[in-house]
Amino acid sequence: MNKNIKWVKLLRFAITFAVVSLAVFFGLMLWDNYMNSAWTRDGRVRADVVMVAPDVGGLVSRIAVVDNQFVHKGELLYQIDEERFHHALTEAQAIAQTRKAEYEMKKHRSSRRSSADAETVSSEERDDALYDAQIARAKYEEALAQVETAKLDLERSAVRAPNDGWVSNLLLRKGDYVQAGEKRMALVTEGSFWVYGYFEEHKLSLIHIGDKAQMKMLGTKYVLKGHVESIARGISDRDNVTDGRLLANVNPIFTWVRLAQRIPVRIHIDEIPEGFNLSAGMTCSVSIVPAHPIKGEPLGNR
Amino acid sequence: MPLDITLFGIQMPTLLPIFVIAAVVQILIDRLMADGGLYNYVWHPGLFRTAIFVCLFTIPCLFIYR
Repeated sequence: MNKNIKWVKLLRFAITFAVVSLAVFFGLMLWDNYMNSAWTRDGRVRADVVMVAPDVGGLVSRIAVVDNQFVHKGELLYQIDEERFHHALTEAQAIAQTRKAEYEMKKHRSSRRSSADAETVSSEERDDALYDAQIARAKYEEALAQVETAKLDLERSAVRAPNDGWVSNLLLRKGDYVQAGEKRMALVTEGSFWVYGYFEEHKLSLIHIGDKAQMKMLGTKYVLKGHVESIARGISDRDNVTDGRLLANVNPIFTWVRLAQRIPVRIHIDEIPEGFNLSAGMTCSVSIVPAHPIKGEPLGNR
Repeated sequence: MPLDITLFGIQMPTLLPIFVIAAVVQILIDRLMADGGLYNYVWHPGLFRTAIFVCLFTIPCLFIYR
């Protein structure tokens, strides 16, 4: 009887102890995985955006696209009023003709003087005529170049798509005046989408270039697949701002609570589920599947 | 398992619903064990219950954060 009670007592301890140690084990494991596995909720879809600017300024006479339209490379986006450029071309051509005539006249004069004998034409005059002809020729060439420039301006008055993509947030209207070099239209390049995952700094050692990544788009069931393309090599140091007197503006310290900086990790998108349209700016949760599950060498020393 | 789950338009970590489900399962198991008299073989029922709950919660969670 007494022995039986002892056994029951031991059993009671054993069961409790076993379950508690299991709980501690799993608890620690989960904590470790939660803190030290490479995942983040701050993933952003990004894309190459070309800021289309005209090469020449002028009034917009026609917009050839609508908002969010897909355009192919070389397709007309908008037209700047051409009339001025037609006139400029005519003017340049007229100048070229004048210069040509001048050049021919001076060339003729030079050849006449050079064939005359030294008693009729002094050698100075002969030289001058030769130089005049050379100058006239150079001026003619200059005028020809200006004709080419005028043609180019005329051609560039039609602003064309630099590559395949989508016109985005089209705000330009017919009748607007655009300056040369002023960006007035955004073009999201097709196939240029990538994801920036902002990972806390202590997780970077778990991420290697080439690791597989999964991106779950916010609020959807869609999961994109990709791989780590590169890791950013610099972010701004927030404690290194200078004040008005050029002294460093260092934030006061929180001794216990430290905030981890986040480093952008660039992820190449390999697979987009069917029926899902990517837009730059979307949010996703990124998790990295490490190629070497346990401590690989941290990132290399490149 | 996904990192986040959207319930009624609110996005939350999957840990949260798992926590709730684990709590419900825990209550059921607790009833069963109490009826079955298992607690006679347990040294410290409170500690035991907590440990069971931790196991119920962490094991599914480990599928998320592998």
